[in-house]
Amino acid sequence: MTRRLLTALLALAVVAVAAPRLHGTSAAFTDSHTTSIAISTGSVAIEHDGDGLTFTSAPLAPGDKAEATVRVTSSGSLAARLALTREQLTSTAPAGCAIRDALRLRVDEEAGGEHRTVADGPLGEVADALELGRFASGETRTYALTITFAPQHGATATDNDNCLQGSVDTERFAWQAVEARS
Amino acid sequence: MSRVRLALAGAALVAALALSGLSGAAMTGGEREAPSVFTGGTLELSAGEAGAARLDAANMRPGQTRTATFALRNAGSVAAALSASARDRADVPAEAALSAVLELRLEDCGTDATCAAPRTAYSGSLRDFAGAALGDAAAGATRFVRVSLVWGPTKADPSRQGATASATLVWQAVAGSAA
Repeated sequence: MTRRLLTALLALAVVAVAAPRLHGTSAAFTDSHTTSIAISTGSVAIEHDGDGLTFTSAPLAPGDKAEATVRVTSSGSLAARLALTREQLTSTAPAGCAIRDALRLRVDEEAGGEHRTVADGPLGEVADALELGRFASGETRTYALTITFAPQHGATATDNDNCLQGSVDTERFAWQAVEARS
Repeated sequence: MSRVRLALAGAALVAALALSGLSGAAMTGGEREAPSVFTGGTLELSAGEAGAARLDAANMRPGQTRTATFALRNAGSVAAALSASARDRADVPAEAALSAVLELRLEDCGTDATCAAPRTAYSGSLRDFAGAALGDAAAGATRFVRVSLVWGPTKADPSRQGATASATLVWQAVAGSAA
């Protein structure tokens, strides 16, 4: 009985050792093919030259102007629609009137030799976001902004703009770009 | 049961994809500018006789000239155009018309207090003086004006003894352009 059991176990051991070798002989023809896909994201970005919009803004008298010119480039890899936005930060009226109510804003654009006026009107009535249109990737345009202190009254002792003296208005301009899909 | 769950999961996925499409997400960029400050200027004019000079026009007689130099200071923050005018003119007695006899001279000395090379802004009778431009004064600058009252020697007339003429000179500064 014991002999038979040992014989059986020995047989099983032989099979166990031989089986992997038998499997290793099951070779087959194979081939493979790879395709590389490089995925990159586009970008939308804006750059402007120098220090950006820097106004020639000494204290203003009625009729005076403050001007700034800046070149804006759509520097991303995608076409983009640009807008010039404006946010009022502060406004003071120490003598009773706010100079903001007397300021006019004009925005002129030069693009590829073409000129157009984007906006021209009282600062408080010009849209807070001016659409500048579609920029191709790398396209540059020049914008000239003019702030004019428009006289509201006369120059006599009884009819003048004295209530605007010392008033301060602070605005923040910004350039916004959104990917152009069309 | 598992088929129902699978169907629900598929529907949820479709809905999520649809919603993501409707969100209109897009790439954006921007550039903020430094704050731009626009300040209304101030204008403050002070006028006074320069140095120790005083325009003393009391007890004048034919052949006399009384002179004083005035300093007009623009204490504001914007440049201004200066001018002079007169008001409240009166002659007593009226028939003496002393203001018609007295010659008023206004000389623009520029920024030179010694008035070495003045420009005549007005020269004529006090009565006819309507006003004169005196030039510009930058913010913080002082401009000098020499004022003379001249009683010509050929205009002696005993009837004017004891007569008086009075007037108020008005110095004005205007900044910017009027509407």
